[in-house]
Amino acid sequence: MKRLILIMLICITNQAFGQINSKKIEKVKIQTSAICNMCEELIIHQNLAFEKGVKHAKMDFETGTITIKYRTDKTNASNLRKVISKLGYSADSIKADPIAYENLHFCCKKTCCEGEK
Amino acid sequence: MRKNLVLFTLLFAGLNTLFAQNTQNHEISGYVFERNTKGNLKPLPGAHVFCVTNQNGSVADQNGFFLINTTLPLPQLISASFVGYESDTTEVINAKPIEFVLRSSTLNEVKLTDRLKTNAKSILKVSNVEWISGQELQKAACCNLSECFETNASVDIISSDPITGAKKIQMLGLDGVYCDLMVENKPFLRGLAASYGLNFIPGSWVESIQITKAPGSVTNGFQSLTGQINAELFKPETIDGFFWNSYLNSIGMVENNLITSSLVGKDWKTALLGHYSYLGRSVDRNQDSFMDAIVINRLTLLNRWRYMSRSDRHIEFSFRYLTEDKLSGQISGDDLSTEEFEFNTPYEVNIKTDQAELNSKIGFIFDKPFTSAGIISQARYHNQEALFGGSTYSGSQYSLYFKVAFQTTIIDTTKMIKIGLTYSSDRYDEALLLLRPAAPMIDNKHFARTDKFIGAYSELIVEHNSRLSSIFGYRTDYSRAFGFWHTPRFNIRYKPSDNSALRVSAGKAYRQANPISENMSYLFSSRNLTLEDYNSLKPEEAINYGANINHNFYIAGKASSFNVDIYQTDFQNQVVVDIEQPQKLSVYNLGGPSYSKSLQVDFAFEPADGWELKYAHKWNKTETTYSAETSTGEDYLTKQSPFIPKYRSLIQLYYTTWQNKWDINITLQNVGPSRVPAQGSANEYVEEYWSESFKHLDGQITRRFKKFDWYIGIENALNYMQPQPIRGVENPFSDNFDAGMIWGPTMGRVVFSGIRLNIND
Repeated sequence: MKRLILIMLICITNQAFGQINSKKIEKVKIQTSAICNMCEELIIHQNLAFEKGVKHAKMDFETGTITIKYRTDKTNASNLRKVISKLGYSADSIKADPIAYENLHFCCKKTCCEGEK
Repeated sequence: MRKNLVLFTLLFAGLNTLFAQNTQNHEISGYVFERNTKGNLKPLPGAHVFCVTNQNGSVADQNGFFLINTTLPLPQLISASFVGYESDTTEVINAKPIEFVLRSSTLNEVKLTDRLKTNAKSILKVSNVEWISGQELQKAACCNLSECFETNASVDIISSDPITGAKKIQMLGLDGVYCDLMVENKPFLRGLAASYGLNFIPGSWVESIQITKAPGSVTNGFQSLTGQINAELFKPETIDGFFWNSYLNSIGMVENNLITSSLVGKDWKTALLGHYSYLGRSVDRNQDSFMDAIVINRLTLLNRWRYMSRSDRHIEFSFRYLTEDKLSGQISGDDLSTEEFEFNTPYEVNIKTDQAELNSKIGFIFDKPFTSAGIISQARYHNQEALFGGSTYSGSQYSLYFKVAFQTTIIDTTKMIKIGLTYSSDRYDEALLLLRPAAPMIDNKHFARTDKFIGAYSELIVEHNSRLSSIFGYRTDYSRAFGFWHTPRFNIRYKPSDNSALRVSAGKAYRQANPISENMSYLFSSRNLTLEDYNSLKPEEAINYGANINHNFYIAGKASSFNVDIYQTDFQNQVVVDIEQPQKLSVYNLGGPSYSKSLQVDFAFEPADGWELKYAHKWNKTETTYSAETSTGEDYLTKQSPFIPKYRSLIQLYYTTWQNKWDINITLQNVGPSRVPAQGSANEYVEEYWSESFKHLDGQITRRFKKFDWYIGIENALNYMQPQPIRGVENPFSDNFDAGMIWGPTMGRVVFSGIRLNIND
């Protein structure tokens, strides 16, 4: 019985270590056109949070950059940029989806706060 | 001179007007948002935004956008407020747009909080208020209002009888009837609904709950003695799209909830909230021939309307309807014709309830900050028909409630006054027919009563300095039957440091008891009602006083909090419900001391990111004087009230991954012994005893997807049940039968699962 448990334990730990090996997490900084709380809401809370492979995401309100930690075996940086662009925001060199951009709340649009900036 | 100079520059150097504005006139702009229960930001049109120094301001438009032109130099303190929301103040340093995120509050007492904890005791509130968010409510299945308190230490839920499976709450060591349960600050659990009313509000409809310990505010009435519990439901303005919830548990209970909203024309928004629960099969897991779970058919609908186009008006009305048919008792006569059972007529229970309610609210928001007026009205019809083992009860209640309220600041924004007038009228008609072995004569009783009260209140909220705040409230209610009732109450909060608060409160409360409907569970027995003269029962009168210490601190950089509550309630008069003698349910006025002491200690901390650990322990001492007639006259005896546990402790462990994709909640409760009165017939007599203490374990796992949430959980995982919850099942028509002696769980392990579907636009 004891031996059986030991074998099982070894199997489990092996599996766990195996998973850790393949679970490579990388960090990417994406420059976006996001500006406010509502943008963060839409991009991070409503979309990136449920995107496959995304472990963590944080937005810097000053610069509009979003730092994403993701699993390399499940997604990649260009895929994440596409997700952001589909929501109506530019992501690094990828332009914002024009239809989605039109549908954004007007305070989230690039032109909104240009006067003050 | 300077103006001329600017003009000069403008004309001749061709500078734009914006520059001129920057030197003299500032534009402060931004947005006001609120968070809905999913945590998403939504614009809050109609919010007042103003400069604190000169009170100049504007109102946020449909997109929550505001713009203030001011000549004051920067930096400026800007405050945002909205009726029903907590105000927020922020410092504006530069011309960048600012954002306010206001949190809904029904008590809108003094100041702002900016916490996103799901279960928070704010140190900023003057009263001892605990706020439970929608997210906290999602930690447990929370099918109805009573289950919403499962993860909460301040409010205890206990089963009231194994026949109907009804649950009731206890607060500060006293029965739930002594705390005032309201829905959106309007009376809800007053009168006949007290026994089953907690099941009438589906948990999925609840947006948030505020629990105020101790008497609380006088603005809502003279009733609340041990506390005020206010449930805020989803409102047309906070609902987006379509929400659906389905729930199924291992005994076969199905629940469905629907919430949807739509715009009607340009000005109105309507919301429909629906609920249907159904259990069609009879379940008897403990083989005592009585059903463990009640066969039920319940439909509730709530339709709400809100006028949206004018931000300085708050106009809403709603209509709620409930119909419920419950069937319980012994399974059927065929199974009973064995040797085990002496009687082959089953003890059947059938309870039918209908409720209809009309609510309206008209509010005016004035330009002066924190100034508003409102008219609230409510009309309700409640009817309950019960048949239990040959006995019948029928009760109906017609209620009317009006309130005219006004609030404003006096002198400056640190002093606020609330005044108002209330009128309430409740007509009760109750008929009780008891079939009892001890009294072969059919005993038909009829009780009728009309309570009419007209009242006036005023409440002064003062922030003396940044450390000391107080609320003094006073109300007077007049009724022809009882003359004037004076209800003074006060709350004082002192903050020795920014992270701690010390509160002291005292207050008086009155209540009119409805002894029959509030104690239905004791009538599922062979007890006969001893109530000499219904109209001789005096109103209940009591004072409550206590203190609270709240301290927030950091352990290794993690937010932790420590809380102590100590409260005492002293009754001047109480309608004593006496079940000390086995065959009797006696109801009479108090003839000696009656009090309740409650001490609660809470400790919460976050061991690591995403983890939360909560521990609470509570001690209760509740004593009442019972009187019994003896040969030498009345004999008074003061002892512990039945079915109130001596202590209760709760350990809660909560874990959530980033953005709440997964969350796990485990709650373990240890319920202490409670006194069980003597019971049984002369030859099967059981002396009074103290029940054993028991543990209760609940858990739930939730997985959130983009469009829906899925949850699975377990209730009473340790499968602890009170042994033999029903006495005398062999013959429920004998004088040995009693189904009201409940101190522990009557339902065993239940596994449940459900989904919450959310479709926006």
